[in-house]
Amino acid sequence: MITADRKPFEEIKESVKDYKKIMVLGCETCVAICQAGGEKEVEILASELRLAFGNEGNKVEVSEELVVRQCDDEFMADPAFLEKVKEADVILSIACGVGVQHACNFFNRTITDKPIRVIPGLNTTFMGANIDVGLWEERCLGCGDCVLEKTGGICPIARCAKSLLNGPCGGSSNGKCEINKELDCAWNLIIERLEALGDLERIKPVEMYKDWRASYSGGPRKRVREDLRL
Amino acid sequence: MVDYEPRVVAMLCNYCAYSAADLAGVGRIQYPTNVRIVYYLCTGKVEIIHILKTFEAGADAIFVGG
Amino acid sequence: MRAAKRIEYTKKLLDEIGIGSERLEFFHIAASEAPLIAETAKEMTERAKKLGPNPYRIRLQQESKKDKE
Ligand code: SF4
Ligand code: SF4
Repeated sequence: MITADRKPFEEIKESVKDYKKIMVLGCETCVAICQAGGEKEVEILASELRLAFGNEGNKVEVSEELVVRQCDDEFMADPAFLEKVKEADVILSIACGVGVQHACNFFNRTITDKPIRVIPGLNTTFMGANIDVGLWEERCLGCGDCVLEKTGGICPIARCAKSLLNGPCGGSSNGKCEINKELDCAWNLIIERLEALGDLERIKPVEMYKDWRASYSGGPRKRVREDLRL
Repeated sequence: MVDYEPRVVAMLCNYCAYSAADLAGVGRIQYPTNVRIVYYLCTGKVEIIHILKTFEAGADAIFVGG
Repeated sequence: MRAAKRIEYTKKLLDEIGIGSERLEFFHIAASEAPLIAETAKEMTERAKKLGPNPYRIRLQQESKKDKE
């Protein structure tokens, strides 16, 4: 899933301080699961804003809304919902960065008589897994040319600090990465896993290069499925 | 110090603090009358939003007993 | 304990929004500790007196008075 953290309250407050009608808009998918932008977080942020502004004698209206996914038109197309969007001075989206951008794009595409201001309430962090209760770790960088079949299912791009294709580097010690002693050395994990699988042979050939054009280095990417297009 | 009648809300767990409050009642132990009790089956169920909403509703202080 | 941790976190939020973390507290009180709960109730009432009214409530009252005028 995509993980995110809420921005510091002070920063959020500053970014909405000039508006009287604020809509806090949550997203029920990734950010709900990582407890940054789901229903509970919408309620909490809205209540915090009311209390904080109210305290300063600043009367603001804070409404609370939630959609299944902000990265998809279909979940935001409800006319009654769009009417509420139009009434707000600012939409404080607590979806990931994709959701914020898509909601902004969608609202301004469908609501033509008024420009809609959408701002983020989260810092989007990474694509990762829920390792334990309250713990998430980065697992994939979306490099567009997956190498997991060679590395025993452990990603050297996302999990090795240097994204080495041939590892480990000289800094690997006692299974930990030199960048940060808390961090497992991905290449140590890879070798242990391959050893257990009896597949060590797989990493013997030197990986000369990887096609990074498929990654972000080739500029923003697009995915087209012609068969699905109308 | 401001002279006023504070509104204090107590969020109490059925199995510990609420029973204690009950007992205090039975034993006629005096406690301030401006404390309003909210009963929970377990204080693990006290959500952040309950606390924030209670302040929005005008509480001056809240204590959670479990 | 989950409740205690959550209260700790909520105290931080209360500081951020200007309500103040002192207005919230968690206490361990066993079922048999009737005097302790009375003590706690007294303590929190005293604390609320010292802190003064919830600023948000005061603001709201002022605002609604203004609205009526
Ligand atoms: S190799 Fe690329 S696609 Fe595969 S897990 Fe790593 S970053 Fe993701
Ligand atoms: S110690 Fe391991 S994970 Fe860290 S940079 Fe070197 S090879 Fe990569």
